[in-house]
Amino acid sequence: MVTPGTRGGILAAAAVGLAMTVTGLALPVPAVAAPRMDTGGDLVTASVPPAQAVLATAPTRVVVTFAAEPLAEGYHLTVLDTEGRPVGDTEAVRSGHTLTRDVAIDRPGDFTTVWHVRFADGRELTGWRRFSVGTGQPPAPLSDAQRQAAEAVGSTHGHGVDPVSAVLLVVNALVVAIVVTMLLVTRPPRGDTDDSPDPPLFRLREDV
Amino acid sequence: MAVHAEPRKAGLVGRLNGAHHRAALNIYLLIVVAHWAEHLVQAYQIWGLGMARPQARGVLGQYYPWLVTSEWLHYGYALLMLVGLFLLRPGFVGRARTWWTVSLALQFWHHIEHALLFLQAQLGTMFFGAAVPTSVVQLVLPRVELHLFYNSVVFVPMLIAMYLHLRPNAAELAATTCSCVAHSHRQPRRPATMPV
Repeated sequence: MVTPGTRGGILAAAAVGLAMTVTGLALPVPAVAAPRMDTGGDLVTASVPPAQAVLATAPTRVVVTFAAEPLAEGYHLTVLDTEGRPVGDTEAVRSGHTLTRDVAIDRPGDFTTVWHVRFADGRELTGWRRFSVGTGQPPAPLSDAQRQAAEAVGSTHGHGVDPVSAVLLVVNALVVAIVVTMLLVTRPPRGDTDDSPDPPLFRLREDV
Repeated sequence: MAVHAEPRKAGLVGRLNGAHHRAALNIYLLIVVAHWAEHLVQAYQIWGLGMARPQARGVLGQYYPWLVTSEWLHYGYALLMLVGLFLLRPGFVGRARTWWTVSLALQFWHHIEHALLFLQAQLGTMFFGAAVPTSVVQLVLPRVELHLFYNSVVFVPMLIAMYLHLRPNAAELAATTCSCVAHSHRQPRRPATMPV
């Protein structure tokens, strides 16, 4: 058994938590803005090949360096050819603030280095830089089809459930459930019976 | 078991830990639960709905985005939590006080982390060579996950403390001076002796 005040507090806290959670889940989901899609801005400090590079020979790898360290589970780096197809099937490698990917370019044309990264502060960045190989001309601006292909690189990056956070949430929910249940089903102690000991003297002095 | 009880203090702190301890704890718990609900919604937005993190702003943040991006809000809440844990601690005795103190110590460090973020945001100078405000442990863990962790490790001992406070053993009950436990059954006795 619980006192009315205690029960009221428990139920009020539970009601607020439930109301806030339900409200949040019931809110219309706003249109999720795509991660900023540009040439990187001040978050990209360097790239190899550099933007708009005109190369006589094909690079064997591309490198992009960011102002912050991309999260281990949150990065993509690829190179697309003129038709928007990925060049090579290697994996990007993260080292500090840098992403590197080996590429195998066997024909001339315009190519696009595309990345999608997530940083520890929650920011995400999808961007690209263009270069040409063997054409002698700067790469042409992205066509709509090429832009869609580049943006698709970012959209393929999903957000899996973080296992640590998921476990923490479950543990918290369990603790709340156990505490609330125990409060509701257990009886509060009765004090001040005739045989209960006198309170400490020093406290009684303060009470006066 | 001997349970230490602090002399009852006069003034606001004394009243908060005496006659108004239960009301103060209830208000504090409401704030904590509302804050938790915001984080649960944010987690659902990220992992359930697949929203990008900058767009996952909880409930209030959907309407007032500046709330989420402002370090004032985060630091203010961390400070509120710390002050509440500190101010309401004298009302706890025995095991409940131990758990409450664990929560207070953890929140103290959590508050330091937020103070670092707040300082960087106000000064415009970033620490650790980062491009954005960064706390110490954030060098290892992403911010959302890190603060979910902090909130958890502060929340769980706080709840245990509240439970033990409401269900004390005999020694703890004898040492309790606040209004929380079965106050309708417990009539404080006055000493027959004269005060010193």
